[in-house]
Amino acid sequence: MNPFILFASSNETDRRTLIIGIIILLILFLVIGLIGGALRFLFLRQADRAEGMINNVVRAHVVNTPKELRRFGFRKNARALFRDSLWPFLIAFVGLLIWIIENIAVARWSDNIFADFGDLFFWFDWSAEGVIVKFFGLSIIAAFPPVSHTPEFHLEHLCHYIECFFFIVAIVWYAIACQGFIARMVRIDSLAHSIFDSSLKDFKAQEDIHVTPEKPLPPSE
Amino acid sequence: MTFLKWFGWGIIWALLLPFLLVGIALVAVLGVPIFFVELIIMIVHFFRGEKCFPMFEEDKKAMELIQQSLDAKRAKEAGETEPKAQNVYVQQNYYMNPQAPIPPVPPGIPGAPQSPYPQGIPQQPPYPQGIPGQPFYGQPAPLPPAANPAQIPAPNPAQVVEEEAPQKPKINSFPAADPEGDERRES
Repeated sequence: MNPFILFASSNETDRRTLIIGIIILLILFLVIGLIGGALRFLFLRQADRAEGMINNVVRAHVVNTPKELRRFGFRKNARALFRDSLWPFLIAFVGLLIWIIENIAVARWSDNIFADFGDLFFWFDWSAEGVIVKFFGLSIIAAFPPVSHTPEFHLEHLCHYIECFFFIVAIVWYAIACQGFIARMVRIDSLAHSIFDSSLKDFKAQEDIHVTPEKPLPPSE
Repeated sequence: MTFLKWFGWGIIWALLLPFLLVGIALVAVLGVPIFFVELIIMIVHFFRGEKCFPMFEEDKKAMELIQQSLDAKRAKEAGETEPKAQNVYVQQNYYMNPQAPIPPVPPGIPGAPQSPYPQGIPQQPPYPQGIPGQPFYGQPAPLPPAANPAQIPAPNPAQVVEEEAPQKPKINSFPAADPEGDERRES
């Protein structure tokens, strides 16, 4: 569809299509911004947790080099990752246990449990005409896609629904724990540089005189 | 403005999301062996009867050093604020029996006052009596009677002076008024 025609055309349908596309774009923009904001918040919170983990050791001067701090920080971080991922692994283990017991009972080892789990949700036909349009070379959503499948509940797939629910919860929780690990390592690495930094950036020899020199300093050449 | 700033940061983080997902995937793969190694360490500590996650050596050392510095700081503050103990040598015998000699200061009490009357208190009081005829405001405090009534000497009737009848107080006399003086002042 030629975008110039959209503006010049008096076709009501085209105008509505354009307006809906802009609104959808704005909503997507807002949602993406919120997700990014939530990610940043989690990242900064985990980074503050890393400072608490190494606080005593740094203040007591037990570690005195960046390498020692990074090594100690990694060990602390690994233990924190284990603590954070204990519940996700447990939940995944319960899901796995249910899957093994179910297949021992009914012997359906080759079934795709995630495809069966998809029966519980709406499916949309994104390839239908008028859904995706080219707008100045970009593919944007111009209309709400038609529904191709409505939710259905099959009793024989109940175990698959439960297993999938456990696995999805475990995967998301574990991903958050891994994100925390990354945030803490980034902060520890940054602190290892800044704490032991011996920068002479703001040092002025003429102003910082704690020992009375015998002679004044010669002028710089 | 804060919301816009926060929203802007959110867009930037959303754009970095693919790289973050790759990092998460790598850490997720690395995290599985870390998990099982820590699990084995935890189980070993559990069956040894220790805490599942004992403190690291560095943490223990840091806690000891911080505790030492806190103790030193507390001791220093206590030493500065606490007043120095002053040894007070209470001379109980002085009031009980002023005639008796004051016992010597026991050895080993630094700063104890030395008695100016090692042989006992003299008969006359240490305070001055004042000049006769002039008012004296520094009347010495009467000594309390001795604890043993048998030590109080009985009064000698010959020395007892009867009280004289109280005399009328003398009122200063003022000179008579001078009527001529008033006229001179008015003129």
